Amino acid sequence: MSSQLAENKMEGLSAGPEKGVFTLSMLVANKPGVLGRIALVFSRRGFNIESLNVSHTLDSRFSRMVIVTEGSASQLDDIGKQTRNLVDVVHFSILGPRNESSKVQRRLRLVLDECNKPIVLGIVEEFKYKMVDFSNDSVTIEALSFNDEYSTFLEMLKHYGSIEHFV
Amino acid sequence: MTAQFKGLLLGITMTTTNINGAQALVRSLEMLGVKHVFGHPGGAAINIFDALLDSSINFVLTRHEQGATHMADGYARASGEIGVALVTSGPGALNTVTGLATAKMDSVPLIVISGQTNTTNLGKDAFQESDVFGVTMPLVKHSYLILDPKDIVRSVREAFHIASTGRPGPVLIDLPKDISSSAVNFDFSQPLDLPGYRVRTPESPSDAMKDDIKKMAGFINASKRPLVLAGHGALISGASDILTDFAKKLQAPVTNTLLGKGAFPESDPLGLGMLGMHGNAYANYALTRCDLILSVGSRFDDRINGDNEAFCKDAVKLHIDIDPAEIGKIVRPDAAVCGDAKTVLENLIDLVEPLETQAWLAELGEYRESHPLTTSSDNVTASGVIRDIHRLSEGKAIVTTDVGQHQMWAAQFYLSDKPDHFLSSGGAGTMGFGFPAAIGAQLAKPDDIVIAFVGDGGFQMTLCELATAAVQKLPVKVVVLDNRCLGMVRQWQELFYDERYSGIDLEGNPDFVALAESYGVKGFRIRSSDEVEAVLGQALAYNEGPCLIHAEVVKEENVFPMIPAGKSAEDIVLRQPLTKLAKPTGST
Repeated sequence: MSSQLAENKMEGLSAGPEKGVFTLSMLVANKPGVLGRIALVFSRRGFNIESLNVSHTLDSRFSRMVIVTEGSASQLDDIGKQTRNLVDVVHFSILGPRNESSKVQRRLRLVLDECNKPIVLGIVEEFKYKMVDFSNDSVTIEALSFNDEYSTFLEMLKHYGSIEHFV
Repeated sequence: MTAQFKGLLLGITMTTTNINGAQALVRSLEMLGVKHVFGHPGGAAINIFDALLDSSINFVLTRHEQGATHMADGYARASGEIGVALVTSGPGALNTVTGLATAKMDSVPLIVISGQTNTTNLGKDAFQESDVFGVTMPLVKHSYLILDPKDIVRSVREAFHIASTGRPGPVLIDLPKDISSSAVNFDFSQPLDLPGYRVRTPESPSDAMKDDIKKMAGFINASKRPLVLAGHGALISGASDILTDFAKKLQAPVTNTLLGKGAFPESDPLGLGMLGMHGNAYANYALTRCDLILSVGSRFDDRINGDNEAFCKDAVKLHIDIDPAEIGKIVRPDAAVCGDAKTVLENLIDLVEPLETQAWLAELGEYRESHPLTTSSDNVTASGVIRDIHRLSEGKAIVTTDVGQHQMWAAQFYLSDKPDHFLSSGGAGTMGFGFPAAIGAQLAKPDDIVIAFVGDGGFQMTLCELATAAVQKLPVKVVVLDNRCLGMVRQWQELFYDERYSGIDLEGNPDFVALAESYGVKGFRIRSSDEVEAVLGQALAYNEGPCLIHAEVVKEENVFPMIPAGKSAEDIVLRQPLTKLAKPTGST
């Protein structure tokens, strides 16, 4: 598939089951009304938002939004494109359900300011990863995840501290 | 690119101090090339109206805010520029909701500026306060609630950029009164801040896009029975000429959607005219027989595709669209190019070969001969009046329509050979659109004949704008096709609901000629078929101001062909059925 079409296709959806729980990660403008615009794209198609996390990023112009929703992959593909069309949405990716066996177990340590801890713990919880250790200036996280999901996780985390990898 | 937007790109810089927010707004509009603003004043917008007095912009006072939005919409559709409406807070702004939805559904660049209560009163149920920013959210391409006077100029420039680029659409700017009265340092050179907005109008296609175009050309070159489907996107991108060259090179027939009228000349031998629910039988026949369909800026909506599974079942489907969200939304294409229709066709045309389509064109020609559109001349019928006006105006008028039976007859009988000459609310199906849209179109094109075809139902939703047309002395011709009922609903009730007529009788209609004359608008009346020719001749020649032609037409005329909602082109009903039809599964 050429890249133009690939760009319009949400990652991993074509191979996935028709119905499933999906985690959507987006970088959005940090302005009033953005959450409303995004929520309307979902409600228009009768999609329920199961959980929602909005957090600051290091760049105060943007927020990170993680939404977990349940529904059909093809509908979600459309919702993804319509959400991506919103002027206030800068980046959008869908992490869909796939075969559990392709998940990889990893560990990482994040050195961070204490004030960022609640945000980081929120992200960890959203991804359903485990925090296995913590100190005043760091947290250690254990993740059983797909590669692209883990990349998004790292992408989000890097705004809050420096990451050290373990295998 | 619109003239308005060019000023923006030239990076005209201008800095002034000691003006207020309203003046900064109006000056921005001037610098963006706005000539006309349509609207209605009120307390929360009073600063903006004050600033307009010192401006070069012509303000058109409408009698209702809905009319203002449709006028701005008609102006935009006819001129290719951005239409601007200005209203006050609360009910004033809420009256623009239908106009915003109409513009969103049909991808029209419309800016609605609404006054708002003071920022300190927001959310406190102040007089004439409505959360218009919230209410309109799903109906706009983007919107602004300006809370800092510093943001006014940049927001207006962003709004114009967003409304007119990519897939165009409406943008709302809600401006609180304390912001419009605050001092502003006018700086037109401030950069736009739109990190999330991606415009897909490349001057030359990317390598990836070239691959998609090549793939598409491969499919086309293998086709024996190709069909080109021209949609509104082809018109918006200015692709009519290249589309015509492309179809002629291929020798491929071209059908068009309602909003695609004029993208390819409908009277050309290769032109099949409109397809879909009330499209020509031969256009719909082509759908069932083609081995390849190429949509250029059409979104395969449910008016041309009642049954997704059955739509061009055995044909290769190709889709060119500037909006990535449209690709695969309804029909999953075999190849697609996400980009501007004109750019894509300019690159595609060199990769395709003339096709052996003689047999295919002969087959369609034969079918066309045996399944023509028909209308009667025995009585005054709406379809007959439209056909006669098409002949008498030599098909050159800019036509606007309302919504319903007459809209479909106008699409069938007023053939469009030029772009931007047929303006209709296609997606939203907004009754009351036709007449105000014609006023906007006439302001945009003062030298053209502008004809509004309206029904007696829809016209009564916005007829107060007769005053606006009269004051502006615009020679709009309003053809009221009066069948004394809501004809399309009546048609459905007759065909599918056992002739159980419910809520369709328009008893209490006024004397439309007397009504027009009370506004100072010239009125003409058509009651019998022998009057049609003479009265239409007089009305078309009348140029001193607006005129209204009241045609009392047959009530029982139905629009055919008709594909019942939810069915495919194979299930077309060509004439008044003798047996009862099942209730349609589709909604409208």
